[in-house]
Amino acid sequence: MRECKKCRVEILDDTRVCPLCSSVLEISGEPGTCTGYPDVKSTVRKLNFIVRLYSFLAIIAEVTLIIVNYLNFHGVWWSAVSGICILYFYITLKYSLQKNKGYQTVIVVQVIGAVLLVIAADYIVGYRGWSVNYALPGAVLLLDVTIASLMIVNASNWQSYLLMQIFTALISIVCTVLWWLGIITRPMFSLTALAVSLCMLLGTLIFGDRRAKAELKRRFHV
Amino acid sequence: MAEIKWDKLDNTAHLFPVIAGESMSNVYRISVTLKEDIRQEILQEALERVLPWFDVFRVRIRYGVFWYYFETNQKPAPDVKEEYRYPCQFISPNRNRNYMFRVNYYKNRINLEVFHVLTDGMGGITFLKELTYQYLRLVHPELQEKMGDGLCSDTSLNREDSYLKNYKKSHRKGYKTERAYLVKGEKLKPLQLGVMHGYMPIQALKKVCNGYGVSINEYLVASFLWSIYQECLHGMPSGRPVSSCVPVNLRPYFDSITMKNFFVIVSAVFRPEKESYTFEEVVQIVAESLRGQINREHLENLFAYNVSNEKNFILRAVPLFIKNIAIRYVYHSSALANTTTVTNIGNIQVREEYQDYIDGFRAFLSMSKGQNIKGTICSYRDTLVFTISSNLADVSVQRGFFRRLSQDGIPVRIETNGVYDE
Repeated sequence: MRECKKCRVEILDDTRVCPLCSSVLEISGEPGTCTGYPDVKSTVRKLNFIVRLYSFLAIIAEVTLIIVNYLNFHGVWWSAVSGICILYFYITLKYSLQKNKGYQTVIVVQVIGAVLLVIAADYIVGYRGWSVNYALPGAVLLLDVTIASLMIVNASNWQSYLLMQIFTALISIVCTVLWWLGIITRPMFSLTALAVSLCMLLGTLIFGDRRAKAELKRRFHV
Repeated sequence: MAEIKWDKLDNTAHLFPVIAGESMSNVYRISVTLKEDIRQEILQEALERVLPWFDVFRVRIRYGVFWYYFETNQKPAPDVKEEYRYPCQFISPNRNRNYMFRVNYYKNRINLEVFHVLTDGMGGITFLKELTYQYLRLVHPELQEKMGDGLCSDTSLNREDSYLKNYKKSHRKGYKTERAYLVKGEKLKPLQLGVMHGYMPIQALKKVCNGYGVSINEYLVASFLWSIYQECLHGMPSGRPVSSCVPVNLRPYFDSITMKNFFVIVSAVFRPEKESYTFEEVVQIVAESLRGQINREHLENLFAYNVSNEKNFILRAVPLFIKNIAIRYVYHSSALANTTTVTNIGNIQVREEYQDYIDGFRAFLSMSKGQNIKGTICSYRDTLVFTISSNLADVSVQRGFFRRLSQDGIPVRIETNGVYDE
């Protein structure tokens, strides 16, 4: 039996020191028994190290690029483009890989991030509209292809991508609104994205029948 | 293919997916210690047999446009592993085959860790008991011959939302928001959780409680608050109260047998306003504070306010991401209203046929915002275990608490998870 004379308690751990007051224990006779706990050492996650290493290298690289850009300035702050690319990959590491997010959320967040990145890049190099004319509807089409692939691969649970489909259709409608507002000047790509997204959604709702309806009921229950 | 079943979250559960993360997991652990070492493959089989019965556990959480919801998880049961990490770590909805609980073992102990979104301690105990019975039946075929291979007749599989069922309109805001005194100090490493179990004989404890004229629960809550008052406030007056959340199981008050969450939180409050208090005074103050709140009418009011918000159609129709911002704000503004939490799982009853195989039960909670130390009471047969879980490196509150009990003549045996030796 291990006993702390100061605390007047019996200690069941395999130790010579009281965990309450750090006094040396009085040991007499048979020690009391307990199941105990495994010897767990705090394992620093490898990913944490990668994020830190990336942050360190990214800051050094960006500062170097800004200096080079400043010394050789020819009217374009191209170092800002590299800066937002570095930021994008940092968000990818922190949000998509480190936070254990669901893959649907990761796909949507990554695509939105990429679109914002190219819009910013377009502005930095002198806005010509290619980001909204091509990259934005291109992202919608990419999401459509991704959703179709996921529905085929995960055929037993295809209806779980319905909300993602609705989101993609809404983005394609936003593209059309941007055309109406005159922000998108070459609408062909946007109209294609709208047509593909709406056809896919309509097809899912019609052919999905009861399972699609049940999924909508679940996702939209108030 | 069969249609996927789904279910709404209960009124309390709405909070947990919003605030849970690695630093605040909202996971609790209930363990059972057997008189024999655990065999991994048999525990896995026991889990695979028991899980299909428990719809409350066989779910994954999904997000909708307006609310989170549960959907039947069609994947096989999660893997049973030997314990290899600190207890009560965050259960990610995207890992562990999307299950919101985990089962692991160490030597002769089975641990069930549950994300609070699924159920409260009562639901956890019910599931753990059935898992243990099934395990014992598989290991000891003679038990299977005697008991059959189904669930125990005491077990309820009911999944009603008892908050909604017992709701009566009330407009009074139930929970307090006055800031309480908070226990602070140097923290353990991230993800570390210090666990200290104090085992004590119920007879000795009862005798002491009778002497003070209070129940075991009141005495232990008071002793815990007393140790905070003595060790952190050094027995000095404080502008902020020392208070403890005390979760109350509502099932006996509302005749419910639901497996879902059905509890409310009352606060045991001690305001150290004058120069010094004796322990006897603190025990009486805490006992009166609890007695004034634990009655059906007050408990009904506590959850009625929350349910009334859930029933409001305008609030219901707010998109989930906005609700999440509001819930997070409300939680953060009210989370600092209590110093600690002391929860009582109660006396765990086990079918007579299995009693000879079971040594005991233990339970404890993970930490939450502002509360760096918590206590959990649970008893089996003639032994009560008071477990203190904490993410602080200092153990003075634990020392004050267990010394207080031993000063009252209660023999205490201590076991830790070794975190304080590292």
